[in-house]
Amino acid sequence: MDNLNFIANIKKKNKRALEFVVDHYSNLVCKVIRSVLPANNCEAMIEECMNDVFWLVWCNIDSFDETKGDFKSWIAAISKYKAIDCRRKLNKQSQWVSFSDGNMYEKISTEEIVVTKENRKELVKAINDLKDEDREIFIRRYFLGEGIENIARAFSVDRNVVDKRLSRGRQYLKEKLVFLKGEML
Amino acid sequence: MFDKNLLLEEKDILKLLNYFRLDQEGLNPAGDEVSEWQRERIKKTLKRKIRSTRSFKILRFGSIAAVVLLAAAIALETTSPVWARNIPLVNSVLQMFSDKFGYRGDYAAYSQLVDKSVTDHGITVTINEALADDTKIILGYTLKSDRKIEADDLSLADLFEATKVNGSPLNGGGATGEFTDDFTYVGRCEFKYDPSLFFNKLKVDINVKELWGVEGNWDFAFTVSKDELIDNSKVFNTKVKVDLPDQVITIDKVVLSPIDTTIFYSGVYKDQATVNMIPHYTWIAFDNQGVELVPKGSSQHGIGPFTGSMQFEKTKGIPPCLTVIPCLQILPEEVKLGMKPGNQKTRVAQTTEIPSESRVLDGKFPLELPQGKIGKLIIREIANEKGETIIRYTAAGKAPYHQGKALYIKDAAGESVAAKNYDIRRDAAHPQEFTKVFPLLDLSKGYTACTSRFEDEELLENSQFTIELK
Repeated sequence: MDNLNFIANIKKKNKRALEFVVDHYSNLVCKVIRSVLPANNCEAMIEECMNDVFWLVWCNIDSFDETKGDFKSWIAAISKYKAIDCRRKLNKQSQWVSFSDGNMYEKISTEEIVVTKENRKELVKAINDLKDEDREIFIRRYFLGEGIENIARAFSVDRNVVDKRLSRGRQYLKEKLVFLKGEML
Repeated sequence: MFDKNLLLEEKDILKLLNYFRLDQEGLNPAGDEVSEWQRERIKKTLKRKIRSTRSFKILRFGSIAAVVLLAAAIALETTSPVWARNIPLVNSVLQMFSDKFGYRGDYAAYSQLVDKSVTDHGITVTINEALADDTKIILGYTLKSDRKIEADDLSLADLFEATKVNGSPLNGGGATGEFTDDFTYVGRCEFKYDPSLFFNKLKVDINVKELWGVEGNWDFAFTVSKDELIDNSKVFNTKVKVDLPDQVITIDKVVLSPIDTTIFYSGVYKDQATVNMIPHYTWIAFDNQGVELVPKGSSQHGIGPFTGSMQFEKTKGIPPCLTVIPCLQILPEEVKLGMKPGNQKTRVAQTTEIPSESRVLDGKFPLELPQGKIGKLIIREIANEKGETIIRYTAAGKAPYHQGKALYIKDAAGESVAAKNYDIRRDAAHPQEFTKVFPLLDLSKGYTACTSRFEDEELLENSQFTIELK
């Protein structure tokens, strides 16, 4: 098993390929999870979360698209995504889910949400259609819970730029959603 | 969060995550190395999950006809256990272990006979009996192999990992047992399950896929009723508040059942930053006569607000109140960090030197063993009778049973001698007097009696509380 064939082997459901991923990406997965979960004595939760990450990779390898990104970034993103989920379970009282810059959910009516349930694919397509940087900023903010400052640092831009792009992304999606709602009606 | 609100499927989100670019600088470059043994454990867990998912898929892909056949097979295989009330089970495994630990529970009277065996690859698993109440299910089981069972190979918690109660996985628990010969292991396991307000009959599905490295199928399906045990239990709803140094808890209810006493509580940490998943406290409970109840176990869930329960032996009748002294465990920091709580099946073995007192057994009695601030043990007599060495002693102090458990015998080389029985209380009329039985010892060979100075724990007498049972 090597770096060139492990993804193909996971797709063939070869367990040795999964072992390869555990051997080569455990440290990265662990680091990402630790960066999200509270530092104090959550060893069991961290390991459970690591298990979830590798399990997601095993079950959803078809979602990985080599043309869009590399496996290392993808598994790191999954680690962050699962760690947020774990953290939410850990502390239901935390303010983790409240975003100071406005939550898209608040800006869409219940009726529109029903429409989006029916138009899942279109919504994903709409996110896909965002400009490259806008899309990544959007994903980092809304799917991976990253702070504005962090995102700004990662893109070497001012936080106002991030705010603007998020706002633009929300507006774009809202327009798409309203359009879809019209289609439904 | 966004994905929850818009109900995107996980698959969609995973596809979107392809656009994420890893920012290596944002990660701590040092530390966080995952050890080899941890990686191996993760692999093992994943493989087990793959196996169980595959067998599930095989079932799902069956034809409708196969499903009908399967349903018929399940109907045949699902047995209703013989209700054993008033006909105590002879040789009840659960009663044997209860007696062994001195829990005094009426397990034989309330256990339900399952007595189902499945043999595969020369290994026979028998579920002997079962018993359930509102929160836990207890099983007595026997493992028999046509070849010698190596003790090191036993992983009892794994055995019941895939067990489901009313279709839901178990919520953790433990298993214990002992060899009756080289080929036979008898055990008991106790697991928490998600209680249902609607079903008093639990549908239990046990699917063992691997035993000592041998893959096979040892599947069981049976029902267990919790009616009789619940009907004969007393529930006391209370609202006692307890202010502990780092948490505030509320005693929600106390259940006195024919097999045990359980105190249910909920609470919050005063400072979330001090949250530690390892329980800080044990509780020392007394009935209204001041007799300390033998502790059986505890569980706690949740890291923000938490809920938990403390289990003790069955009480003598219905006492008007119970008094509890919380006992703070002061573990050395390296032990706290080393322990792996939560979902891990087997805790990493930890050894730590706890300050102790020892005295050479020179035949002169009474022999006092000081136990620090908590009190002392007084050995009154040591006798060799019927091939056993019997030590009779008194625990004087604040928590006699707790203290009484802490008597150890070491040989001249400093090695501990294992006692023959865990039950140390034999005289109900004198609850501070205990008896510990060891294999026959030649007392001229320099054995020493040892006990803890209990410097690793602190009785919080100021936080002592009383629960009225009315």
